[in-house]
Amino acid sequence: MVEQDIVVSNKLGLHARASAKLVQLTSGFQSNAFLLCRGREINAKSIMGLMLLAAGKGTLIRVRMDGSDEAAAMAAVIDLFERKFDEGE
Amino acid sequence: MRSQWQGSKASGGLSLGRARVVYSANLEIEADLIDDAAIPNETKRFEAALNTTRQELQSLSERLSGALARDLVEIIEAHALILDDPDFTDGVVALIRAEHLHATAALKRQRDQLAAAFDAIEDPYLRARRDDLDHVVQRVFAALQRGGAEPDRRVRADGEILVCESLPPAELAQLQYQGLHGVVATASSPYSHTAILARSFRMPMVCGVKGALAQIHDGDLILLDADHGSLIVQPDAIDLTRFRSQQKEIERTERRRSRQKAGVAKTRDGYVIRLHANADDAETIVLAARAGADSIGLFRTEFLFMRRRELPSEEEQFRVYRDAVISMGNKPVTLRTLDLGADKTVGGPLEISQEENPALGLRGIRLSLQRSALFATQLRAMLRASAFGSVRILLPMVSAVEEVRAARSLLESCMAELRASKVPMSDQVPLGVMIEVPAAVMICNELARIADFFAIGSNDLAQYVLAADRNNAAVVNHYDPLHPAFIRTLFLVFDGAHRARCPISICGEIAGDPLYTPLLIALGLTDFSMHPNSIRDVRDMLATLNRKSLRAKAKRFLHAADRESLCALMEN
Repeated sequence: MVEQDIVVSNKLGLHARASAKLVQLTSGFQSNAFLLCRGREINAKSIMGLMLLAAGKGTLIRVRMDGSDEAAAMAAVIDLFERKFDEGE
Repeated sequence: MRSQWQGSKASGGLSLGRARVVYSANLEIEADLIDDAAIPNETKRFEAALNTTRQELQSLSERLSGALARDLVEIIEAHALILDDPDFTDGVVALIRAEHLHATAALKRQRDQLAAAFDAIEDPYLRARRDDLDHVVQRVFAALQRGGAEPDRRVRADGEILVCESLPPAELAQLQYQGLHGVVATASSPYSHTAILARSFRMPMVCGVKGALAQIHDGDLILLDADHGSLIVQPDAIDLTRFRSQQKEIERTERRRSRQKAGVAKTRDGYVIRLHANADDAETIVLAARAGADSIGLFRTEFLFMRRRELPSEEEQFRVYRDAVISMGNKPVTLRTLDLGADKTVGGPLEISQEENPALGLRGIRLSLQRSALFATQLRAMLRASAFGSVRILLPMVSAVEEVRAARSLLESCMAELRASKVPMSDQVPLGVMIEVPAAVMICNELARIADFFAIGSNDLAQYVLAADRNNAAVVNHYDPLHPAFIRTLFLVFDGAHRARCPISICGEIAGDPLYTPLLIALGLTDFSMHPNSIRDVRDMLATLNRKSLRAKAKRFLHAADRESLCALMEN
């Protein structure tokens, strides 16, 4: 299991399209993927969970990956956050 | 009783129709409980409704095309993910099993729980994602209520004016196909995706009409004057007489315009300008032919390579190119080779590694030359299509003479190969170069000698010259084609091409925006390529321009020092 903290930095936070990109990404890995935020833990392969997390810009999130490809999955997720979900803002 | 309402214009136009009032999330459930034996059937019914909805979303996104479609498709994809989300679907199935609810009742309860969770969110933008949930739930609901029947594809919306709180853009696209006459939204804004889409459909839409939902009823006659952001409910005889005379006036203008369509585009002083169309797919080609385009100035082939797992075969590409060529009759079709980079291909079949800076990375011709098998497949498919009409091939993202030479030599070996296997094709397939990188501008004299034609990609060229990403809201003021540096860049290319007698066209937003038409005419451009929907507007603008006097002002455009002086020159 690996964990890493990251701050949501894209302008609109985890909105529908950003959540969709995250689900599409995590679903491509075998590892279980979770986001922990404000005492809640949600499945990062669930778009409803992600949207209901209501993680706006500036929210601190802990990403947890658990599985055979956890390192690669973590790197990909962190990269997506750092690229601000390719929203170009 | 007659009443008048005021909102703001979201998309202009005049129309008359019967109201169809749609309340958000008006979900009728089957309230009785089911017995144990009926449970498997009910869960099956729910699964089937999910499937139907998936297919609907799929076919919806397939019907969309053009630049706006990319945003819409992302939203539709997010909606499709909700359908696949166990957090959403398992809850419904559990409710059917444990509480013996009908699928509709279970769906409604699951939706209410999730909606309440959304309503508790503080961030107003993220709270509004409840709409996305509702859009999906409503579709599943409709599928459940139809009970496995085919979705109603008849023109149910025909002649109707939709009265709603707000409307998802994809929904508008669908209703437009069904013959909707207009939209009255109590919320929403002229900047919403739906409003932008309505403008591209030329569908009248008024938004921000507060209170209308409670006062307008199904079947009420509505006279929508979207140009003035107003509407009249239950108009009287005087209103209707006025409407009919306004409508006649519009029809007269339309008729005049459609007569012009048959003719060529000309400036007021009689100079012929050729208007070409940009196309993405079969649908835009049809639009182009209908709008009287002189040719397809740019056929983008990226769609063949996106949102799929495997690369398109030569045969598949050939069929697409051939159909485009056949649709245009004897008019040329300019097929652009693959113009993708790392920003558009992540997760696609091309397996390009992610890049720090995709705009300056492996894209366009650079990618094609590196994947020569892929490139040759595309060139062969294009060459084969040339047997069915006039084909031109266009290379994107060229920055060096060597790239054109390499592409030409590959093209020639493909031709030799096809000839050897007696595959029919044309002997004349011109090879052109996109001018969209500053390096290409600086060597345009040399490029003009080895290219058969030029096409300026003004969007990318402006972005590279001005060092500003046009999709980046933070620098949107820096991305302004009315910059002296960009105007002078355009002139360098026009001038180089004219000296070398190399045909040149421009395809990019400014080609289809009548605001820039006087400027481009002043700089000497005679070939414009644009979205088919823009052809009419540019043709109308041309008819008001005096080319001779604009050409005389070319120097002043080139010496303008800032935006203000450029604007002043364009105005008079």
